[in-house]
Amino acid sequence: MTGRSDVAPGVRAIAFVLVMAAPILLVVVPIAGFFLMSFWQMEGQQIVREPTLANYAAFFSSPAYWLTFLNTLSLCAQVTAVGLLVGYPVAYFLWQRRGRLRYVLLLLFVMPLFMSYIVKIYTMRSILGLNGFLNQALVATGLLDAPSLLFLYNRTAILITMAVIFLPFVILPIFLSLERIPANLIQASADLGAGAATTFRRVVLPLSLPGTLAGALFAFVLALGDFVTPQMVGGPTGFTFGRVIWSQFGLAYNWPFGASLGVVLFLFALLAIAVGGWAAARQRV
Amino acid sequence: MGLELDAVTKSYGSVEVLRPVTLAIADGEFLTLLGPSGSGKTTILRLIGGFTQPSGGRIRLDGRDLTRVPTNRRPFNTVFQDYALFPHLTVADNVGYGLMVRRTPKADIRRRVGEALEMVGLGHLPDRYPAQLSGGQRQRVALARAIVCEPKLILLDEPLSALDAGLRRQMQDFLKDLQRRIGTTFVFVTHDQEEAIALSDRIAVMNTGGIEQIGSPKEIYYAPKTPFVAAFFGANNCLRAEVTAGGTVRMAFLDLPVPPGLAPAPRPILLAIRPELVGLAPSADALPIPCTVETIAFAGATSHIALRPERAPAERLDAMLASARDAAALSPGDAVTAYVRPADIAFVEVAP
Repeated sequence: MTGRSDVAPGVRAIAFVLVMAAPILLVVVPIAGFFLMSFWQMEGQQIVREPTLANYAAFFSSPAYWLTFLNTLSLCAQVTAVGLLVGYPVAYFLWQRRGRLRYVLLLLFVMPLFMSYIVKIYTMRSILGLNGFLNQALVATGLLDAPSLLFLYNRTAILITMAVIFLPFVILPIFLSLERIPANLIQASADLGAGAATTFRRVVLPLSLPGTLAGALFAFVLALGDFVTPQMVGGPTGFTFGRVIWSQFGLAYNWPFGASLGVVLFLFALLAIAVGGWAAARQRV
Repeated sequence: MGLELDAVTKSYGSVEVLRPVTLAIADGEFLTLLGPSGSGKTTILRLIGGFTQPSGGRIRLDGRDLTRVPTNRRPFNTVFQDYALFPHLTVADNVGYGLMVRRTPKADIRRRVGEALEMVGLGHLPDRYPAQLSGGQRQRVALARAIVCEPKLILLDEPLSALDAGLRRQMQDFLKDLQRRIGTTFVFVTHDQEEAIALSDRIAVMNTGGIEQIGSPKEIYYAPKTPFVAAFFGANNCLRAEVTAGGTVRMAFLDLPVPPGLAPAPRPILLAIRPELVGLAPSADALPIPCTVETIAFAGATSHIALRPERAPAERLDAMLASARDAAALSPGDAVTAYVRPADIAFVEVAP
């Protein structure tokens, strides 16, 4: 006698609808709304609700848009790369600690997740600015003769800021995947004659790959959708696709065109997630 | 020469998990470390494997000091309790891992992995992943992975404990046969007495971080040297007794002359009698003990009979009899005479 079979099909259908109501209302409906809107068009101040591909044609036919898009993809790839290059060693270091220290340090590293996003950007701005901590440190150590303007209000500033802000999202899944590796696999590798470097390359790295891919995806997708960071630290040269979309909604009031750019971005994010998921599934862990 | 442990100890802070252990393991020997959990048997295995460092003492292989040699440079391989197969590698790559690490040429790896898999009966599954194998098959992969590098010593950490009873029996036979064929020294850890008896050349019985007794399965079984060993194998009769000044061994329902080889000094002592050596049929050299049958527990081929000696009804003597023949006519309350041959009694010294 299982509980399942006692429940009438009608009751189960109603329960299913109730459970699904929140995600449908809060996620699927808004996205579907924008998807629909991306096929409409502005005429004067009015939205004309006739399906057309004009918005997509405008995007693909004007290099200003798709070059910005490609540039943004490359920026996000760089954010991801920096995130992994810093995040993996940090996660590995945390994993190597023993006992309580491991979790205390982990908590310190993911603490920024509990802080306001805007506060973090302002903090980064004050660190990267002309009189900021970075310039002061570089001048004090003699690496620079005078404070540099290179760290703020340009593309590099966006890269640095995003890499720092999204770092906890990279560290956490990598750490978790490292922690899931059974200790006896490491011992088995040593038992079979492997040194630390071989064990890392042949056992630890492949087994932590799913977490690493998840961390990379987090960094990439978050960077792709972020328009606040470029707005606040990007200056005139750090123009990203997120800012373009934002300006279609906030400045040009061309919502259908903005929606179509949003759909392009959304599909790319989905593609990235699908590729990452496929790569992770190939690892049998 | 083989492997020697010389006064090896292990402590964690002030907790001593291994008292000084001195042990010599001969080449080609099948040695079992047998004991309850927490007795230190796995600690010894981990010290030999180099997974933990001893707090004192030396480990030597053929006279060479191994104490500070890291795991990956010891010529030993381990079969882990839950096999520790690499989930992202195929069976062939798991087995070939140790050879790959040693930069063996690819063709040699393929040939030796094939041979090792044939030896464990898995020659047909080189491309499977561990998740696609049954428990018994994983066990065999772990064995193949341990033998393929031709180590001086194979360490087995309760490798059969995860298998069900039938498969376990089958793997015991297989292990023993494999060890005979390759002639490698096996150091085997288990808490299962029957497994230890079935497999080992020698058994080291461990308790509370030290070796209680080491010897052949028959020595350990019939001639226990300590009260713990006497009580560890099955439902043994452990009877309190005393060596008296008058030259007898006296217990509640029986007096015996002090046998040759036993010190005559008066002291308490323990007598261990295997229940299957307590009979109900008279024989020439056996001592008669009048008893009352208390309970009869049917256990298949044999039955366990609890007897109360008439001279000391508070004491208990257990007998194990063939169910169909000897136990069939008995019922609780019957007066019977139990017979024990003095030669079947083990005299166990009690620690003062």
